[in-house]
Amino acid sequence: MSLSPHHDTNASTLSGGFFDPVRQAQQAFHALMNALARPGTVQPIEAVEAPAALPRLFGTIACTLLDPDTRLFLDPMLAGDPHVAEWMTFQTGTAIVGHESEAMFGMISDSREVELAAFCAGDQAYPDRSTTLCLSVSSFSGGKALRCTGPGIETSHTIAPAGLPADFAEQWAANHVLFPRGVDLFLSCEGEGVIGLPRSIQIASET
Amino acid sequence: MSTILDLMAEQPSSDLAHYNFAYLDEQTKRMIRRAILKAIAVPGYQVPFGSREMPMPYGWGTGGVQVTASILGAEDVLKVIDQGADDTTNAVSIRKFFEHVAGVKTTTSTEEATVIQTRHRIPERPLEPGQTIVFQVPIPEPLRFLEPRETETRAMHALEEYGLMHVKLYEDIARHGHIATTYAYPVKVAGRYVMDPSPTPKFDNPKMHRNAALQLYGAGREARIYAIPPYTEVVSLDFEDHPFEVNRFDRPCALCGAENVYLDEVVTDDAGGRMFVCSDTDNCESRRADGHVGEMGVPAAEAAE
Ligand SMILES: [Zn+2]
Repeated sequence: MSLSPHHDTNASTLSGGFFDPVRQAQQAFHALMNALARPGTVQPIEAVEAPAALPRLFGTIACTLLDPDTRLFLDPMLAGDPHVAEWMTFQTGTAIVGHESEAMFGMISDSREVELAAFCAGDQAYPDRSTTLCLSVSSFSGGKALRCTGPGIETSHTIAPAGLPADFAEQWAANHVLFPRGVDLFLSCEGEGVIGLPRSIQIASET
Repeated sequence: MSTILDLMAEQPSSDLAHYNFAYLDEQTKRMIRRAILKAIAVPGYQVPFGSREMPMPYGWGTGGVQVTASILGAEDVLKVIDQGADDTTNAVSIRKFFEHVAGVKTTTSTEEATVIQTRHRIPERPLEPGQTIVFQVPIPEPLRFLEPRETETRAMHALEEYGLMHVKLYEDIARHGHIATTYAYPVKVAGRYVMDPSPTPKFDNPKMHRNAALQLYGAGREARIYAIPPYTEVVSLDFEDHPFEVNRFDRPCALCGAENVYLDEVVTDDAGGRMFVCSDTDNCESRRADGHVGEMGVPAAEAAE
């Protein structure tokens, strides 16, 4: 039995997830694909019922992309709530790993402290063997202005998500310089959707 | 292995319950979807995936079919072309396959389509943001004919060692006075990976550059997926003294009068008569519907009578 304070507020371990898996997975994947193909644009995505500690869009992403062939890293806040790991395992069958560098997917509920370099950037010969990181942000506006350029962007696209680390632009530069290695990000904001930031794009702080 | 036609004979198209939507099971789709996301993040890089057997021969574009099956939703409108035409056996069969297993709306109109599956051609009509074009790829590795070993070609991509490719193109120039490659002409994507644009004619290479649509490439037998995101720089390999040139046609389409389009030669009668017409049948038909007439064409109003 868990004594999580969130226990009574939301889906239990066995409930939630997709109620129409084929359709919902396709729609969510379509949003994720467009998010990476058109970096900086907000792609609406349907939220699923999930344990209270888990951002609901993380639940959607998990049901869409995770299964017994994947390895998931949860940040300390998510890992500290047994409902989250139980729900992930029950809903998707994903393995949960304790080290960032082993993760195919990472879910970070408090993005202010994230260290992109801790995750797996892949191999020069197999750059696809890298971590896809999901960062929950409090808002897609009000943060530092970040100017994105590169593949998928016609000219440039400026975003200003709130809740990223203060040195995000520097961390991103260190990630992008590794190309074709590097991590890819999905920023998720509850009630809004996702923004994709593939390793291929450049991000500069606007002052 | 049963064929598409066997499957359709067994199951009337009204009964979709027999298959998962779009034929592939959800776990296979998830695996392919994860590969597609990596392919988009690393433009031009060939992502390995666990290719599945499909109810059709490899030569029919099973890689493209698996990509299409993994991205297609109930609201999508699908167009399938082969050599630019919507009415070849290959195009018709794949279109029927998706009508049958996904129940999606299909079209021959480039404008109406949200997903276009193709081999050999990119439509003449510029694609739009929000459209996705899926290429059926027989041989995804542009370095394969120079180096048969996968470990070696993988190392060459990793180290960005593309000297051999330039040597091959330069040998063409030495032998023919120009670069003789007219199909599957290699490109460099986003300044990094050399990529094979599948068997498209080099005429279509400029259409890949900064295209507003998402381009996805699927190779079934070789189990590779690669991608070009919208607005990505795509440069055909060439030399300063021998710049890349597209095939030129010295005449317009005989039916619709279109210039600067890719033409196919067709035989018109037993006496050896021939004419050159748009390879893109939708482009030709919509131009004729708009009143354009080529030297051997008939005005749309007369043709309708
Ligand atoms: Zn024509």
